[in-house]
Amino acid sequence: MNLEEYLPILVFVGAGVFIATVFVALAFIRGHRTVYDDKIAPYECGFDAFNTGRIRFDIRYYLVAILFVLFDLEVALLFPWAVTFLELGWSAFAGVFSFLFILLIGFIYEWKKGALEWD
Amino acid sequence: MIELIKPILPEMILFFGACLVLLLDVFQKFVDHLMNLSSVLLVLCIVAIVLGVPDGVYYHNLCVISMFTGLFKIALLTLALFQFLATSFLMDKYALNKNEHSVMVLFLIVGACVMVSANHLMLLYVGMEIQALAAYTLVVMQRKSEYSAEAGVKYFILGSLASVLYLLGASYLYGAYNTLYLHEIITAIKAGSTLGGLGSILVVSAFLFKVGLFPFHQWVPDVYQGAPTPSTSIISTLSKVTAVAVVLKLICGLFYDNKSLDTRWIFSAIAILSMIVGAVVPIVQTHMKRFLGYSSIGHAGFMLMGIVNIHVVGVSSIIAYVLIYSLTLMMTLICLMSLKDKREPDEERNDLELSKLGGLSQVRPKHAFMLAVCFLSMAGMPPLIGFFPKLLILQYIINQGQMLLTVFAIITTVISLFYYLKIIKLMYIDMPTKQSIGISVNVNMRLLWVFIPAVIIQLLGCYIPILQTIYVQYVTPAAETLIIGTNEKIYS
Amino acid sequence: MIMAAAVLWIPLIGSCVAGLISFFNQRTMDDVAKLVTCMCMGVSALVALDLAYDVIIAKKIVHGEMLSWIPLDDHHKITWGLYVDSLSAIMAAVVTCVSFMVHIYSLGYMKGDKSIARFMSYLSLFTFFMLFLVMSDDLLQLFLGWEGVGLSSYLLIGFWFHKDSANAASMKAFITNRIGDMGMVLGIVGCIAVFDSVSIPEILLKLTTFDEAFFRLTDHLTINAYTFICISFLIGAMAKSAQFGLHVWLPDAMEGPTPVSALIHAATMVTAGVFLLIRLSFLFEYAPSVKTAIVVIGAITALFAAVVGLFQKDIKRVIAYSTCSQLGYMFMACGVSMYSAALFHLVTHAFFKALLFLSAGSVIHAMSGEQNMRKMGGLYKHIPVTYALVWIGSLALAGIPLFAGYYSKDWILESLYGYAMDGGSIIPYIIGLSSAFLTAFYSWRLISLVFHGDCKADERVQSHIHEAPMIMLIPKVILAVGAVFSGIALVGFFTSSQLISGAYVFTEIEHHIPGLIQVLPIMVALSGIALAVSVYHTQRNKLAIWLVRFKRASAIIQSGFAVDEFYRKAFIKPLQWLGSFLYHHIEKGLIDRYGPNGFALFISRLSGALRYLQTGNVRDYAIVMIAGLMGMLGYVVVVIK
Repeated sequence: MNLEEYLPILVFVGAGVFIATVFVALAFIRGHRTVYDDKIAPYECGFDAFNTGRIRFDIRYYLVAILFVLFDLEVALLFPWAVTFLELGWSAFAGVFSFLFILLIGFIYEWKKGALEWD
Repeated sequence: MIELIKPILPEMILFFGACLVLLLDVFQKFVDHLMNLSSVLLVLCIVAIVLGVPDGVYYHNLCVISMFTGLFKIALLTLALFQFLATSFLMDKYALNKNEHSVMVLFLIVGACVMVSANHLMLLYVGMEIQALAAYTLVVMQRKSEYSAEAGVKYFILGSLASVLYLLGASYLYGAYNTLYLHEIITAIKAGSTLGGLGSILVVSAFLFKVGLFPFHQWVPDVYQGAPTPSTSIISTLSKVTAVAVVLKLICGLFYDNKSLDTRWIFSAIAILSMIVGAVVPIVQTHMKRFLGYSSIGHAGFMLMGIVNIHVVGVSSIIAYVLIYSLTLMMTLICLMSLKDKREPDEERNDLELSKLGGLSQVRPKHAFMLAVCFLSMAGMPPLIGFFPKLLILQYIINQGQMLLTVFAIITTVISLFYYLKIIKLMYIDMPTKQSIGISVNVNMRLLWVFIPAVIIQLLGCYIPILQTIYVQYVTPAAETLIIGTNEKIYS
Repeated sequence: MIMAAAVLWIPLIGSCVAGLISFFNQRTMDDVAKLVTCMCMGVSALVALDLAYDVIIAKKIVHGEMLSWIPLDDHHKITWGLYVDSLSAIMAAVVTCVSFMVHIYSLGYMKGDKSIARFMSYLSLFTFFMLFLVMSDDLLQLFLGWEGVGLSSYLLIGFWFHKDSANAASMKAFITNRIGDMGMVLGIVGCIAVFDSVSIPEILLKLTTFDEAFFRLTDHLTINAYTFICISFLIGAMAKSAQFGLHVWLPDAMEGPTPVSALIHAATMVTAGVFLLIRLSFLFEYAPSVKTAIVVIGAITALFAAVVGLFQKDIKRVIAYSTCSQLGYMFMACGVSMYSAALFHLVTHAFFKALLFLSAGSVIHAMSGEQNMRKMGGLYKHIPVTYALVWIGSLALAGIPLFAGYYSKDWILESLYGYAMDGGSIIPYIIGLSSAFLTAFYSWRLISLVFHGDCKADERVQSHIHEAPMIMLIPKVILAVGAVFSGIALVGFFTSSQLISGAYVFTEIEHHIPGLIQVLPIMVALSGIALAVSVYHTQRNKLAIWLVRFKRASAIIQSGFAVDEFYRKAFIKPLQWLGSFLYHHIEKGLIDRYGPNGFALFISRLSGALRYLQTGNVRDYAIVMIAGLMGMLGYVVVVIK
């Protein structure tokens, strides 16, 4: 058993726990705290969590969600390509950039159309 | 580099052109000229196809270029070009962004071209989705109209169902033959297996949905009616032509010379039932676009008869039929578009009630004449051009000894003649009322530039040699590449 | 050939021009229409005379093709051809000349009629079709001309279409002629069956090589093909030439304008039947029984029409029945193979009968449209020229020597006598003589009633009596010249017996005619005149009083022996009942209800039912899709191998 190789991970975990604890502690100690119903609800999204699903809500929620999914998926697609970048070569490069180009066009379009503005 | 993209150069031109149009529209540049730019793109694309690469397969068997694909792509582009030229000055009457509309049409054609050329089931699916998404968008383009939205949602949900069927079928085929390449499946399927048979039917039915054939037909009237008329025109022609191309490709590939699975009864039943629906239901319709939707179901059924027994003659008849029918339908819809008043989107729904066509010949004689020519052509009256594909298909099925089909075809054609004539009677014998369509419209004289060639095309039937030349030189070879060429010639 | 074509087509040009003017209702162009039609007719008449001269003197036949019509194969093709032998040439000359005169007369007679352009167009159209008929070289083309003159006749009888009686008369003429057309069609079909051709010269050629042909009706019943064909053509000729039985349309046809009566219902169209008999004489010679039938029919017609003519009140109907009677003479002549005599009588008759009709037209004109002779009288003082012309026409009609009718009628009577001498019956000759007597009688009855005695018209009409204008007189004078001199001028030519030239000539046997027989017709005619004058010029004549007693009989005779009434009861009523039965119970009740209408009802119900499948709910659509798909997949699972 050679556990020495896992040492960096342990360091990582330790650092992560430490930083997280510090932030939480700081917030707990220094934070300005007011408690009200919406704030202590399980999901802080503006909706009543325990209600029927058939209510009216703003379509822009959907818009943001869909845009998020799109760009999230873009990143998800880019990860495997980035990992194997050197093996795949230029054709993959061109492919990914075509993909990015399309997304870019879409991004410009939605920006100019004002889809990213809440009001 | 240029050699690398040359086989898909037309699609590239369209795609990047569409992106350019989209950006220019967003940045409010040259807004009034963008439809013309789109038309230029279409022309460029046609040129690229004509001067394109030789027939063959490209990109590791992913993409096929042949007479068949060329013919259909050019037909799609020409139809779109016809619509753009005819409606560029009519689009302002509709509550939609005409530039986005043309962008969507361009994307739709990109998808359609991919579908026509694809030799791989996944690629076919991608093309199908590009085309379908563009089509859904076109339907809902009139954003303030709830009817448009209703139609769009119906189309979208049922279209997704069709996609699901397709994917299920593709996975069956993959499971059965361990490949998604069409030509490999075609070779393998002759051996026959239940899984493969189910898969092939599922895959084909997705496109039967797109064509609007019997069990999958019900979206057609709703969508045709709800969509704004320019979109109806695109969906009813471009989408249909593409779907017919793919159906031909798939059926000829999967079921030609297939001893293990006899599909004749399936397609006969679909054809007959579609024709009955398309002949009987329009009689009681009161809305023009709904009426056209139902009649298009009947026409689709009529076309399908040509492929019950798979043979070059039948396939080429179907190609001729779908092209001529699409052109005629597009002319009809353009004519209706030019009669439209500028109004609130939700009031538009009633604009095309059949009763409003009463006495059109007195209000708008040119339009009435044009519509009458189109309807007679659709009904298959010689010497109009619509007569000839009907003749070809009837001749073919009679030669094949399909008497049941023949009887139904003739009966339904006679019934359909009744309702086409009913509309002509409305236009020419009835008296105009205050609600008649087109009274207050300012008809642009540029329309004559569309009407005159349109009527000339319709009357081409008077001069048979030219039709014969086109048929023999282009349509029949296209059909031949589909059947004879599937395996032996192209993949050698 | 070019001349023949010119004769044929020039009237059509005139007709088209006038027709267009009429169609576009250009009243101001009426003068153009009149001028063009008359000029075209004049040119055509001149060319026709020249053509006749050429054809008869040079004894050549003009025969040529104009256009291909129905090319079946190399041996069977039907063409538009022209065939002008002396028969056609004479007919063409008579038709065009009389037509030209009538055209000019019409200018005066129809003056002020608001559709005169249409009238002139119809007249020219009629002339064209008549020429088409006489010049055709095959039966099918002849039939087209035959129908064409029927059509023109229909249009012209019904020219004053606002009059119900005119409409009824035009339809009666048309429908009666349908019976004859059926005969024509049967004859043509028979010719095709036997000779495999419709070309007249070809039939003639083939006839010489055929012995006998039979049509098998049933296994045991056969009929001689020639007899069948000839009977069929005879029926056609009877209808057109208003022979007894099918004559009913002719008196009613007098509803048309008088120039029409002169041209169509006296001089030309009604003689088409006689022309057909002469044209196809070579066929009739092979069917002796049919020839006998022709004689019988002609004799009945001649006597019957003459008797009925005696009792007519309407001036035009008298002349119409007279025409009928004279046509009977021509038929008799054809029946005894004296075709030249028939044609000769046809020509002379055309002149004097046209003259009589046109004069009658002048009388009617003078009497402000009155046609009843009982309301006329004493007109000779007012319209002396017309009076003189009626005398000339009547003398010619009665067959008084030196006038045209004498030569032709006398010849026919001699032929009938010869027929009797050759073993035929004497009855035709007797009937011919009695008819001649009656003819003379009713002619002078007409003259007496119209021109002599006291005028019975009212004051207003009397004050308007006037002689016809020059434009109406000149054509009559020219026709009168024809009525006087055509007989004496042409008698030598016709009796030289080379008339029916070309391939077929029949020896027309010369008979020794006793002197008594030669003068008998003249005596008979003169006695008829004398009797008429004595009856109608002496007040309270015994004969007249005696006749008045037989009111009922005279009423029956006046109505044409109630033939119309008989037809109405025997044919029209039962047919109407049958038609109404078939219409209400079979057509509407059975076929329509369960056939087309039933199917249509089924479809519309189906349509109504099927629309409920279209619920508008996406879930229902999806269910239909999946259900259909399941069906397909199930089928695949079952059948796949």
